[in-house]
Amino acid sequence: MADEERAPRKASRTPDELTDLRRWAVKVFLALSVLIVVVDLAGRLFKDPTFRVDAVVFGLVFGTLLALLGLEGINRALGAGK
Amino acid sequence: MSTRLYLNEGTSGAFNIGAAVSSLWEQNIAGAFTTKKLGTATDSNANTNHLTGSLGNGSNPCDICYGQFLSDPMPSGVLISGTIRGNIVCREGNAADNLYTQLGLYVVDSSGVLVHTLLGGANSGGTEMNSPSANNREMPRNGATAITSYTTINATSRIVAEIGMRTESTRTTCQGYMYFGGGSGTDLPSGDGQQHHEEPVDRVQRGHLHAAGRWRSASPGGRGLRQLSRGPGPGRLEAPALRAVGASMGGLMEGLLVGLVLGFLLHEVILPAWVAARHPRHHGR
Repeated sequence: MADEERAPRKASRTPDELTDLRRWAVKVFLALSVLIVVVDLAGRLFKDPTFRVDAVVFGLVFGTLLALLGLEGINRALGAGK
Repeated sequence: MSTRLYLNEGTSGAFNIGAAVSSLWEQNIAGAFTTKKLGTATDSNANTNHLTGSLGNGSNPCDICYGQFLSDPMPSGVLISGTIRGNIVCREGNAADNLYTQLGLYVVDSSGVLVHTLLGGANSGGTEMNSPSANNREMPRNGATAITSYTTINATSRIVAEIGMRTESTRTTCQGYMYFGGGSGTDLPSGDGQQHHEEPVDRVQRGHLHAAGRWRSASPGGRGLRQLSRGPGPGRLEAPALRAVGASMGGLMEGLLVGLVLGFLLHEVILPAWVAARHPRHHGR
């Protein structure tokens, strides 16, 4: 009886589409991170030893990636207990 | 440590700029902007007495350029900061000329175009040139003078020193004597007032150009500027290496912070709003 009266478990409030979009955002920024590392290395090797991708660009891409990964991790950790 | 730079009047610059880099000068002597070499070693050529009469344009003050000197290229990522000081033998022809030494110090690109002003002249203090005998004078006129810092962003930047006099009179017939060249004697002592017997030993000395990180010869064989400074020294800002690292870390940290905010907004605001707009049934739950 007690089992029957228990409220049905709430469905996740996060639509599947949103989850997909967030995962795609992570993938895009991951790809961007790899790209700028490759550009930086290629520039130093083939163009000019002093070539550098701007530190602000590095920070921006890696910062965004960090934030996305961190929030995804938190969401997963919280969701795993449900 | 510091770097001592010499006004090598007998050696041409790597290229001739042919015009003033700065807007400091109201007048110049003939050939002042035929670029000569600013070296970390003297070319040992004889010093020359640059004597020019009829200086001054009737306005007080009036800055008159005597020479322009171009260094070898600096490596990328070099921090230039701290103070500059120098000494030169000079005199004025008349006590009413009110002549003082003047110095402009700049960073230029591979074409000689101004990139950064390290020192745009010094306009007060110091000791007037002596008359009638030539004495040692500090240049800039106040002795060690702070320069605005700059970090080179490529391996083609050079330093330009433009030297001259500043008359603080309305005379148009000032006579200025300035002895410069590489010279083969000993360097002038620092400070004003030492009589120097008209012997043309006249070097800019104790120029404090502080380098951070790896300051190395631009090419094997010492064509480039050699090792300039490491470790603490007089008149320099402390820990310049940390300042250089701080400058690049600053950009990285700024980017990281903006990126973190952007990531948060993307994850928690922009993407949910996008989904909510596409699927209104999820909205408001």
